[in-house]
Amino acid sequence: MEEITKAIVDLDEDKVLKLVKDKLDAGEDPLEILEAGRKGMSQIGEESGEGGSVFLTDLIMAGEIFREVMEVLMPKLADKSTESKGKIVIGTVQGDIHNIGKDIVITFLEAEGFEVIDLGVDVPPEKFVESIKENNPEIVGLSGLLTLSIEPMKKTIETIEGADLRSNLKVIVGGERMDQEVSDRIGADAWVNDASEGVKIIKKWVEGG
Amino acid sequence: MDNFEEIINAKLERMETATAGKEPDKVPIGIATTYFPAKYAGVTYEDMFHDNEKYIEVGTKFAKDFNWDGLSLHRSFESVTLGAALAGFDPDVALLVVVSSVLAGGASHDILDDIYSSNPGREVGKNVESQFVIDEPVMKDTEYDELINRPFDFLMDTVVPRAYKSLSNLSSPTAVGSLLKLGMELGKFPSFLGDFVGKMREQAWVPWYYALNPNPLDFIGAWLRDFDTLSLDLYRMPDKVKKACETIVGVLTAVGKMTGNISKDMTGSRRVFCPIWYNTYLSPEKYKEFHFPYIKQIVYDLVEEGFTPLMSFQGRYDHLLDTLTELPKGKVILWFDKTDLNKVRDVVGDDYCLAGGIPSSLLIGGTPEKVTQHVEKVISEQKPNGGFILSTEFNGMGDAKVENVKAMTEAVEKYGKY
Repeated sequence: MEEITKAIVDLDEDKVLKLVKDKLDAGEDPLEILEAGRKGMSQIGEESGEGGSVFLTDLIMAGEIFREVMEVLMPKLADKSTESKGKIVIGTVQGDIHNIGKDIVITFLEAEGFEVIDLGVDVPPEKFVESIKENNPEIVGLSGLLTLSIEPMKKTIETIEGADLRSNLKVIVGGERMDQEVSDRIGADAWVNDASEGVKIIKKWVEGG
Repeated sequence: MDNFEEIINAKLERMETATAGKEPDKVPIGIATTYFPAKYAGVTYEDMFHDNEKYIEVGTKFAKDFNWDGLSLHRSFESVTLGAALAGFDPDVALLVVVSSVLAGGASHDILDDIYSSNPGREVGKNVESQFVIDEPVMKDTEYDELINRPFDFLMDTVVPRAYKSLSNLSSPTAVGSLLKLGMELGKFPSFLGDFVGKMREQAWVPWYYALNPNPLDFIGAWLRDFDTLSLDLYRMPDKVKKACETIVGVLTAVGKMTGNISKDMTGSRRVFCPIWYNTYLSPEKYKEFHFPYIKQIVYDLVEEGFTPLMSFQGRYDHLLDTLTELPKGKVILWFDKTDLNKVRDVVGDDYCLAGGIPSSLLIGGTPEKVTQHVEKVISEQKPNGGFILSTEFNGMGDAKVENVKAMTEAVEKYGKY
């Protein structure tokens, strides 16, 4: 199984898929294969972020490999449930139609075992509120690439507060234009400029209780 | 302004001196923003983008009141694919088509119904900024060989129909009619550009840039594939991606030189905007394999023709700083968004010109006092020995507070003199 983990870390697509197929043919437990894949994704995530050696294009390739692995494993996993680490509602805020940062965060959160509700792009504040009411997540993620996303992020957080849903919720904002000043001003609990940093913070929140 | 030509010449000289890594009379300001001037003048973003008379009205008012050394009222890029497809037919027509979105606003978007741009009052709200995001790839991963072997024909017969909904069937009445309509609009552009530049010059305007040179990898990613699929291509078909970059680099450089000549002739500025988008997201190995070689080739080509590449390293460049010294000293402007200028200076020394220093968040969320303090700090760090232009993050100040932008401008006057 360590071979699978390593091949994912090496982003060796062909090798990963061959190993997964061979293991399945040899009657190995698909849950263990999934776990080996997750471990690889987790290691890649750890190596990205500020000062790290893994960058967004690498994360996208890793996400694609993991997606392909899941495609093979899914039919075999149907009767085996895996426990959710936590629930997250995520979307790109109103007025912004960029999806890359959000999508890669979702891929890695899912690989980590989180349940993610993806609201898509250009999401109005009310839609976040509706989804929070419906799904009762621990965490909400607001994504936006541009400066113009800052005000809609603020409005979204205010709308969540207005609906009396903020107190038990952690809010993380992600995008290139985020910094401490922006995060403080709009009332977020954390900010990130890159996807894997976001995944790390979310893991820490959930694991730290 | 009666003496506007004198002021224009002083601004051009100030920028050129800073570009050469030397000390001008004071630190120049060079900024690109479409929508802050609209906000300042009380005009909707929709009107600023689509109504060329309003665009001129807002631009002249802003140029006069702020009097920066370089100001670009950036527009869009959606006609670049069609322009590139026409480059083998007639370079002048191709150029006009490119210019139709880059310099002349929303008409080409409305006529061509492209899959790239979302504009104020159209796909997004009337006071929301334009965004440029490809909906889905218009070139498949199996089509690299076509791009490599017959670039112009492939772009026209395969990519253009996918990229522009009005041209989805090139022989249909809709397509032919749309192209005729575009042609009628193109006929108006030279007089609009003449009118705009003439009136702006009377306010002593010099563009931060008025010419564009995209680079191959960003072009493939933003206009033909999309970021996700291009990322996978880098792993799955690296040789084809490189060959495609080699194939199109010449066409893109031609766009840079032709728009550069328009800029030089109309405004006196030799700067050519070279936006660099994917640097943030690539490992140093991938950047040096797929991105930088072609950027460098473009830069040396432009410099040889007497142009100044204004290299906009968008996002972050911290992991790639060692590439900068491969660029020609004193001939390029290195403009950064989020990258720490002090770290850049440590790597490149005093012979290169750096631009940047003002985070968008400061102008949007800060106070005039904080802005003034920050400008003083940046200038104290970067002014010594010259080679510095004060700027903001690329097109990142639409929502800035007016008083903060005024404070920034005044602080440069106060602390920027040599």
